Amino acid sequence: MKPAAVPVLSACAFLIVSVPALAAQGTRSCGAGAIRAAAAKQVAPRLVGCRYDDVAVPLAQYFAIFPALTKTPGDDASSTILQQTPAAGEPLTAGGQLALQVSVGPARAPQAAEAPAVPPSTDTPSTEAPVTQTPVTDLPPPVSKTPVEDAAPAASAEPQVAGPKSAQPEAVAEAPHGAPPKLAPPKLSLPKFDLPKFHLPEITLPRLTFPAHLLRPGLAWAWIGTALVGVLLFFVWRGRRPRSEITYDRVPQVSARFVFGPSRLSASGPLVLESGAPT
Amino acid sequence: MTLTTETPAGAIWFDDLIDTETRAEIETEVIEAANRDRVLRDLILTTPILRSAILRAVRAALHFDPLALLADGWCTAKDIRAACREGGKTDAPIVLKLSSHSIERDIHPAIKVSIGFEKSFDLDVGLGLAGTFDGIALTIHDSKLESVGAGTCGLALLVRVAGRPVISRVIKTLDLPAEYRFVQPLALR
Repeated sequence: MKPAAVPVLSACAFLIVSVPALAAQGTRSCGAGAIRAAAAKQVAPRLVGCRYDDVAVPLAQYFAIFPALTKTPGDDASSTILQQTPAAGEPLTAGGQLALQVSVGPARAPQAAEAPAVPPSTDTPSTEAPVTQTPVTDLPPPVSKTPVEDAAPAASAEPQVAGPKSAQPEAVAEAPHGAPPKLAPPKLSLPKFDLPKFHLPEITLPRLTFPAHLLRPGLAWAWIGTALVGVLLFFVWRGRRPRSEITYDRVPQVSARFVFGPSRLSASGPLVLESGAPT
Repeated sequence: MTLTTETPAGAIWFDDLIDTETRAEIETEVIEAANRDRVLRDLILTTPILRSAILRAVRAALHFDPLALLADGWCTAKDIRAACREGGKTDAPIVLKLSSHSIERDIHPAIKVSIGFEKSFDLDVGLGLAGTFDGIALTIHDSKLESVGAGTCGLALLVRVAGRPVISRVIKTLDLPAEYRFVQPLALR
């Protein structure tokens, strides 16, 4: 293998491995490239249909935005963005307001629907700053103390179950007489807290930033593969060369020579005083 | 001209005559001249071992016979050639006794570097070697200068940068032996 072929082959391997991945990153509307392009134009990117997990990091990086999420059940896959405000193409500056309506997946079974809502994705918790829960309509009204005189005598004989007795009058009424009443679990509701919305100060993003899509986990394998191919080619190239050539061809050989100019002889009088045969 | 072929007994070498300080000054001037060459400076910066290699090469080049170097002045002198023609009828050697005179010769170091490619650099520094001879005699045979002897030779070194002298140093006054033979006879021209 000629030495000049090594860098050419390495470059070809790099192009073969990384260019398709780079092209895929650049053409996806949900990719960081599209969000970056939108950030350069100061308009909202098109996020409807994208997964929130895919766009959260680019939004934070290029817009300095932690969008306000509204989680609603729907037929779409979990974490799919259903609606965005402002819409795609409308002005959106860095640090601005962006509200997203995110699907939490199909509606659950009735038993599961009563459980308190759990955030669908937990892998990017840091990007879900202000979460606004959809008001759940099937939650019971606030608990009210029922006067003891209103309770039936049979029911009063039952052990005093702590909690809202008013939540189970139907269950008690439907139970046949003589059978122990079927007690439904108490419905608990978490008090709603009004989380203060905080806004990050506006950050002027530097123009020259290393493209985040080159550091994505999927693309890292392209770099690793290219590096491995390069290392392999390098060792193949080194292994095919004679040892003596490896050792000595990189040692600089320096030689100095003196270029002599013409000589100048000067004498005050006649140069040759006398000549004769050697004694 | 071969100045450093063999090492005859009693040979005079220039690097033996100069002291450590003079040698260091010469090396400094050579390195500074190398740094004035843009290409050579970049080579030295990228290949630091090149600097010591250049110094080694310069030290090796300083190992020459100063008398053989200055003998070129005798070989080209018209008076000596005319005297040889007058007395050179026979094959016997001729001895010419010379008056006091001085010979000066310029030396320009050039560096040849081989790192994958080969390139020669002419450095912008000049060494001038001057010899002042007194009471010497030349032995010439067959129009070739064979030996010099029996006199004194004062050697001086002059280092020029861009034509301007920067270092002037009297090296040594040699008492020449009765016959100092050159390694190779020098032809008169």
